[in-house]
Amino acid sequence: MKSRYHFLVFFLGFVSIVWVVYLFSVQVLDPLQLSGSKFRRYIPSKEMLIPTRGAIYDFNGNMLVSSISFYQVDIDRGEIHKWAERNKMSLDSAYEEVAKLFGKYTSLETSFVLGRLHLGKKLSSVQISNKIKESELDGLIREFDKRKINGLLHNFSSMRRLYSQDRLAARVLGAVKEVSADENSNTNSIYKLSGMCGIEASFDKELAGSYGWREIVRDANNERVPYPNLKEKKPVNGYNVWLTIDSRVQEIVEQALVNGLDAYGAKNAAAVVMDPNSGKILAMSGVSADDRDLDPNIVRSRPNIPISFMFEPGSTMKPITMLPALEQKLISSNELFPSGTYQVGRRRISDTHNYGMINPRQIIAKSSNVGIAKIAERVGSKRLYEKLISLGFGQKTGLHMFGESSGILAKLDNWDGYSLHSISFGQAISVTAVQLANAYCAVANGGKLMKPYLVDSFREDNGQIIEQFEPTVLQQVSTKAATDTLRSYLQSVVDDGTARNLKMSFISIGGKTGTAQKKLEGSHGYAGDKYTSVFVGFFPVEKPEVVICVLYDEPAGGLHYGSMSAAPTFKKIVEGILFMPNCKILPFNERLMQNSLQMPDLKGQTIFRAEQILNQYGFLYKIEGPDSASVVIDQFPKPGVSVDRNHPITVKIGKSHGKQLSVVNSGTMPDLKGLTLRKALQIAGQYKVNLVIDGSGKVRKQSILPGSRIVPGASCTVEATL
Amino acid sequence: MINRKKFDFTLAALLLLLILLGCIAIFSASSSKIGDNITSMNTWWKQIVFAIFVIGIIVGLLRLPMPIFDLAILPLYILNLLALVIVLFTPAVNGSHRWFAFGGINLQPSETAKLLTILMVSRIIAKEHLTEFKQILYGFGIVIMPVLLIVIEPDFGTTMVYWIALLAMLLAADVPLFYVLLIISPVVSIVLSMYWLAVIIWILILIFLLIRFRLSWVAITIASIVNIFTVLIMPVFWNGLKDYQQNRILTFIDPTRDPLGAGYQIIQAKIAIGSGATIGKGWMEGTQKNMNFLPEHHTDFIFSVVGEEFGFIGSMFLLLVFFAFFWRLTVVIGELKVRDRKIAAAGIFAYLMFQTFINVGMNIGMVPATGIPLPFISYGGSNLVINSLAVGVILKYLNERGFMK
Repeated sequence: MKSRYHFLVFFLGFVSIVWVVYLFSVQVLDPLQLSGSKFRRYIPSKEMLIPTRGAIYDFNGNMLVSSISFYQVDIDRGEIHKWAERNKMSLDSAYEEVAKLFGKYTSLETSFVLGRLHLGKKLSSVQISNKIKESELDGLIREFDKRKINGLLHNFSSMRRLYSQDRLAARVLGAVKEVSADENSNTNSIYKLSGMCGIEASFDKELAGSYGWREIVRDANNERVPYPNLKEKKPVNGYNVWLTIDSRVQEIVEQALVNGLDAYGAKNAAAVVMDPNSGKILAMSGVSADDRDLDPNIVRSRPNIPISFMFEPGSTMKPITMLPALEQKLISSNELFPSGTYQVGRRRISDTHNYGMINPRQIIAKSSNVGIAKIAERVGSKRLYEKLISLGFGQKTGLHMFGESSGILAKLDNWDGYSLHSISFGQAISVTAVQLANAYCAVANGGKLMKPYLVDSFREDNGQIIEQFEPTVLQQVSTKAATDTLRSYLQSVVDDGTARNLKMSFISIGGKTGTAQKKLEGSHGYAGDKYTSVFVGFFPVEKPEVVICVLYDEPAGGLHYGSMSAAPTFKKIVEGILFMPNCKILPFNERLMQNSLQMPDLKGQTIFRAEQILNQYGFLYKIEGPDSASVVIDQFPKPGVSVDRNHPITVKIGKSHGKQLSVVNSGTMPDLKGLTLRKALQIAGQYKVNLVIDGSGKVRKQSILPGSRIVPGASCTVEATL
Repeated sequence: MINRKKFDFTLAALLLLLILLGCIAIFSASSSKIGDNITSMNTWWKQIVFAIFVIGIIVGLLRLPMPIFDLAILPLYILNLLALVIVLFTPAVNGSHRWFAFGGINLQPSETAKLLTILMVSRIIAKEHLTEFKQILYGFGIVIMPVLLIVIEPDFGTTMVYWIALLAMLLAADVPLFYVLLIISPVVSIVLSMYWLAVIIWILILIFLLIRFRLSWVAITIASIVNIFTVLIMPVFWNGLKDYQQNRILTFIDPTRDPLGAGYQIIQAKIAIGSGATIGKGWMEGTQKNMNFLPEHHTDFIFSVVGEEFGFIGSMFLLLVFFAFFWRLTVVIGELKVRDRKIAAAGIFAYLMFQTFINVGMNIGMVPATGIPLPFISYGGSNLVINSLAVGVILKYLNERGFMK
């Protein structure tokens, strides 16, 4: 009888000992290291924070490229179902409520969202869109929280580049591509934008910024838990790159090149506009004939012609050959040289016309091959070679641009018997447009070789300058006397030489035409019918402020001379620059001498662009139409009509019926009138405008008018009344 | 009416202490504390209400005249069986029909059936003139009815409790040990059939015991054949199973084979206990619990919460209280002289201890997860009420000892 209970007590004791031993080993000895962090528990995981890629601005602070982040938004329909049950409503009406929120806060159609919600008729998660902007998402999160609806899942989806000025400076800016993940994170869903070419690639490091991270704790249901004391490293947004490019000049140049491509039937065209006194590149453009048929992103990824395309400079090399001769006083300006034909060994150098005996000024003005060859003989191979090297030929210019060519200049040791003569008139040497322009800058500014630069500064979002680039003199390559003489020679090219068609009464221009047969690829010969037509020049001659190099690749036959194609384009660009508003090169009243211009077509342009165009022409104008509108629907006078500059132009604006750009154009001031202060602040936030509020209620007046150009951080005073 | 001389204050105090510890553990287990932000479910005050309620019931039970109590058992048992039938027609919750819902309170007839079946079995098998064979047969007959109904619900874990309680009661009713051994020997054979050496030792022990107790050669032969047949058929049976069926069984034995499925609960419980280390993370601070990694943390896996938050010292203290409680039970069972009351007390003892053993074993990963709660500690109204009431019955028997049957 008693033994029964002993049995039970024995059993109880045995079990207790097993438990105690087990618990002791697991909890105190801890052989499985369970008190460590090996297992999936409350260990914070790292979530990557994506930096915003820096924006690119022109010299005047106009935004050219900016970044925009998109988020993927999913709805967990199970949660909506629960919410519907809690509020005693049907699932369909709950869906409608959710869809309405989407319709209100995002650009999505309510019916589209409803369709997504009903997809498959299941209660699983469904993706609504992966193109939800941050501002839209904020509104959604707020509303969902307010209504206590769970099930709004959102995730960073992608980042896009937004081109405020569309194709402007496309090849200079370059394209970006999405590259997957950064090596620190093991998720494949995160990617960053990386520059492929142009500024985007060359200054990728500065633009990209650096990733941040945030520790997050997820519970067993994979939901985020607000755990305290979590570490975080903020992402560092990329710096904004401010270019030296002036988008007004850039636009003038691109327009001129596009028109020129049509008119001259060329394959490619390129132009560089530089400030010879600082080395700043004010505009740089390359255009191919088929560009306009291509997607802008493909155009952006094409080579930037002014820095990548090598061509034989032809006659534009003659002043360069002349420079050491003038500098060393190897020739005098009254000395006469023969022209016509000149036999060197088995080679015969000839001019288009026989000018008889001509002086150096005429050699440049008439572009005599024989004359310059004679001078080159006096200069000698060594001196010419050294001069070319010091002017930067055969080397990269130091722009630090992706895809820059160095040009081709044979080493002095490799020069053969014909090299000296050939190079003197621009054969057997290849240059890029930037090299040529930069060499002419040295001529224009009195012999200082400047380091060309395209990036003015790196700045933070708040405008603080991180790095400012200053003009750099690389070396004094020539004397002021020699370059002054050479400039006067170059002026006579325009005054009574090969480029007389350029002559303008109100400004003095110097420059040189060049026409070179294209070298056949892979052989020594020249193509008979393929030419490169070049014009490089500067103005005003007395104290040059702008150097322009224009280049046409394979213009149509008959138009292949530099004077026929490149020079007229040069003239258009010069006119455009001189008649820009606020251009200080010519006094305003002198500009008014040119007072009959053709009316441009403004229809369909945004008001911001239309104002830009009108300012370029220097027109007076008035704008009619509702304040909220932003697109030109009519104009008077009509396009193509010649108008007097002083006659005011009327531009009518209205709502556009075509595609409305839904993206925030952060370069223009939004219309805040009639909005509540709360809403106005929200919108101003999106546009990065600081609002100074006066009064309360609804906005009645704003100090910066809608559609005006603004820079981030601009401050706008709004008056509000009830 | 409480007899001060006979009332067992020690047992009652231990019971109250266990219920109190349960309330403390449930308060933590039903809350989720993240930073300074605490969210609580309303389970903890429900548990306190139930605790007060059950103390009242026990006091009432002690005042109930013994004859009325004895008379009530049979009708209550039959009513309970009816309830078990009716519950099958209620709407399914989580795929099984276990609960009657009455305005927020869920009644689980399978819980009350445990106590009533034990009392019923003790009543029947305590009769003096029954042979051992009839004791086993009647006991089996009374237990099989609620068990079948509960299996239909379906709820397998609970039914094991009945068999253990029956074995304990048969032991207490002076059925020879080797009968009990014979009943459970095929089960042991199945478990051991995986290890050949263990099987051989087991068969040798079995034969030795059978010969030692001088049973008839027929009984010895039948027992040996059944066991050897079981051992031989197991590998054949095993190889005949499909891969996924084998996997399911292996996972049942070794949960780490399937860490995200069947083994998930066991592994998370083990991590919770292990991460508590010696002194624990502190009350309310268990991260496994707060982050919901530990499933069912206020019911089946509450011991893991204790292990995580109070560490080795805390879980030792809880086990010590349990040990003292069961030690006290074995002591007082010896003092009961009325045969059916003694048998009932043994059944209640086995039923409570088995649940504790299985639940703690499952929390520390030594026993497969079966869904049996920890008595007095796990949240659950019916569970707390019936377990305490069972102790209340023993307290009543002790209080009434010395009286004539």
